[in-house]
Amino acid sequence: MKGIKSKMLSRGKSQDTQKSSKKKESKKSNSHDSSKAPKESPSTDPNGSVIGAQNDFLTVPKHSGKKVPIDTTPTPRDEILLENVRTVRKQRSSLYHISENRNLVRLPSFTDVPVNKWHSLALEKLEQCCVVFDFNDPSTDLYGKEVKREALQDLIDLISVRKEAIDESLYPSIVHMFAVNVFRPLPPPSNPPGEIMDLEEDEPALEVAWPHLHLVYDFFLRFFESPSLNTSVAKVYINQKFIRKLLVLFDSEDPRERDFLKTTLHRIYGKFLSLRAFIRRSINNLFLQFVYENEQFNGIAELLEILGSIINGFALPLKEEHKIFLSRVLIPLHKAKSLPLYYPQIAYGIVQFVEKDSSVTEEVVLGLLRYWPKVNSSKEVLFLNEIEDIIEVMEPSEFLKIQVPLFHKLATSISSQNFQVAERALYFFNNDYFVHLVEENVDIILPIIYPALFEISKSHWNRVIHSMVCNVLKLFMDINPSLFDEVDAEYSESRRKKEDEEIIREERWTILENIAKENAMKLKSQNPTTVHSTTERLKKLSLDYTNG
Amino acid sequence: MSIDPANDSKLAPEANDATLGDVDRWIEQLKKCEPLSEADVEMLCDKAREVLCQENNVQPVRNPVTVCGDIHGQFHDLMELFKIGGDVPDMNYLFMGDYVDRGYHSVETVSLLVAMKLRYPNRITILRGNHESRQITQVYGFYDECLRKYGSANVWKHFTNLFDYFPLTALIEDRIFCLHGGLSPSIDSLDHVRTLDRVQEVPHEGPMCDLLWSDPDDRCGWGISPRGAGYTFGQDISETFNHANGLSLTARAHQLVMEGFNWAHDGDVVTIFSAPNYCYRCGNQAAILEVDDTMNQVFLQFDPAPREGEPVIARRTPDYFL
Repeated sequence: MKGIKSKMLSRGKSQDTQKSSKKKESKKSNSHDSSKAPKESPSTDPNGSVIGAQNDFLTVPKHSGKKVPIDTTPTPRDEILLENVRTVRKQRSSLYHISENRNLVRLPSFTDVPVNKWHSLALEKLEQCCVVFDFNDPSTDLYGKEVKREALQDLIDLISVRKEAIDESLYPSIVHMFAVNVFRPLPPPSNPPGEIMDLEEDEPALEVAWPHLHLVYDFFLRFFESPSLNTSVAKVYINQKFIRKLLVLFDSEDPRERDFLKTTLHRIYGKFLSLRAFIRRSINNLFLQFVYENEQFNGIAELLEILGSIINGFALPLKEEHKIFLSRVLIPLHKAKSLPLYYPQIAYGIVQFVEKDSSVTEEVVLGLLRYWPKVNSSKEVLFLNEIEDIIEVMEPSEFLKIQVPLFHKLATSISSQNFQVAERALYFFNNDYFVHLVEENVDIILPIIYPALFEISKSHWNRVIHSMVCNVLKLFMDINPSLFDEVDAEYSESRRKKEDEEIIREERWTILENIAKENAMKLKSQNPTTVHSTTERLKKLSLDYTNG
Repeated sequence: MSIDPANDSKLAPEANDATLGDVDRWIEQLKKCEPLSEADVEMLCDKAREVLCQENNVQPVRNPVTVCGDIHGQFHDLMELFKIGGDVPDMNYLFMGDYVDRGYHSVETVSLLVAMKLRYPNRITILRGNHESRQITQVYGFYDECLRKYGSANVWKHFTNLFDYFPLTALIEDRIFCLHGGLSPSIDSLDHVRTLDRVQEVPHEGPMCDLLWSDPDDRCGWGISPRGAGYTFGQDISETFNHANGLSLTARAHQLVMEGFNWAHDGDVVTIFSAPNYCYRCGNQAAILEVDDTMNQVFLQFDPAPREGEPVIARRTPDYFL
């Protein structure tokens, strides 16, 4: 238990520097996936992924909080191997308003002019950068494109090296330049509606204007990161309307653009306190639209990542607003078909909540059980992943509240014919803290889960599952031998009873069929008066049975 | 590996007897891409098992016959295939496995092929592919499709229990050896294939696994397969095998080839792939191989069948953005 607590602490700490640690976190959540699927094996098998230590997985040393990722059921890969398939990289552009006058004149660089000219030169360069080029035709305006690229590069150098050169009077031009280049209608999705992006097999459509666009983003990001940024002036331009337009762009298919947007919005959230509530509300609205209306938005993962770090900073006790966000937005987000695309981010957010305020545990777990996938095995594996992550930070007192419904669900997962689902569920028993909780509450848990374990131990097509189940049964036997015998006896008793009932039911049907035959014969012999009411005789029959 | 042979049959024995009329009705229904009821699937699989368990590991096939590769649940493309190649039972067919997974209609596709096998056992031969396996179907889609369409894993159980009986290879007029994957280092004669005990889940290694997983390769000898199962085999291997067994050709499927067919090993091996625009995104053509009564070989290529409700051919940028 101590080990767990300290693990939680160190985990919490490492998230202060949210960006880098976030990466780590998502990696961690992915680790179930990546470790099993061999190196170059792609998505086709995103969840063929669950791992368990093959044999004796229960004998992992008690202190090791880390799971040992050893293949349980290695699945050969059948990815699309093509040596000579012509893969066309999808490149597409949004609709730009190409500027009329695209003849640019190269301006001197900042190092070539005296410092007192920098301000006016920056203004001129910003103005040049407002000229928008057509990248769909790579052969046009080569000179102009190059001049603009240099100008952007110069501005980036200026803002990162000579921060003092950027004063407040430049703010409107900077924001304007960003807006002209970046705010635009996005192209329609390259996948037909309803089709979700396949992480590895679908190449994202890339933005053709990226050579300029990324410099614009880069410059703007540095503008926000500059310590001399005067937010009280900048907030005139960085307003709600600006945020709304920025959020729309998160639907871009180009992951590079979404990454810049994520960092940009996160900086804005950090620096512009007055916009925070608005940003949270707007993101909520986007999520709600995604969950309840169209399930189509490319930037869910990025927005969740921002929220993850926001949740991380929530003060205790949690505000009502945040709790509502959890129950109305974060939990329902699990039901979307495209969950795999933002799974690491959402799992991180959920775990943050549970870690912050254990009183939400019950709602979270029951919420997940409610949205539990019924016909999507790979998604079910993700849910199991998330449940285990939640359990790792769960207070024992909270565990008491959810153990009954949780173990009913785990029993179903263990009984799944799908080896990945069963394997993932059984793999819980490789988690020390989980096993500890089970030990504490074995008298409640074993009766729930025993039938599933027993049945699977008798028949599962997959050998590995078979041996894992036997190990788990052995574990329960070791925890409390007398309870185990008791539960076993109870279960065999109930099975016997069921069999008896089945026999009785069969017998009744036979009798009923015979009566029906008799009656049919009698009807044939034209003597309807002697036909007894079938129901009457049945009633009598069951009376006989109940009286023994 | 314990395999329960559909022992949970709850049907009364008399209901288990599918008549020819039933099978014709099923075929008609399936051709409209309407899945059978769970009870019908159970009956279908029970009956088909009786037919398939009689077949040889190296099932002899007479010409003329049309040889087909992977289908992968692309039901409408299978209909297109029959349009191009001719209807069953007017034509003979040999399918080299991989009926399920990846496409949207694995259930309808495999049901139809099995029903045809049951109805015309001498007109159609269906071999086992690496996807006709419990483990692979749970990773690549058939399992989930059964859950979606039937609400339980029963239909998946019926079919995967049946897959265990599919023959592994076929031999056309003692000349053309047909199988899903390729050769195995532990097999050097057709007689060895004949001795394998095939009624089991596809193992992770060994001769039976290799037949369903191996690929031909430019490098000589045996190589480690990047797939994690089976081997790669070079021209020397194919030459020796064909020569030793009096074969003129080894025909196999298993790999996507852009033209639908692809010659390898100087004419000793041919790959046939019959799922056009594979996964609705690869942009490849499909092909089938017609072997006529004089052993002449003709490849017929075809493109995806247009249809509603499925993704359109390879996603492209709309013209107005070009």
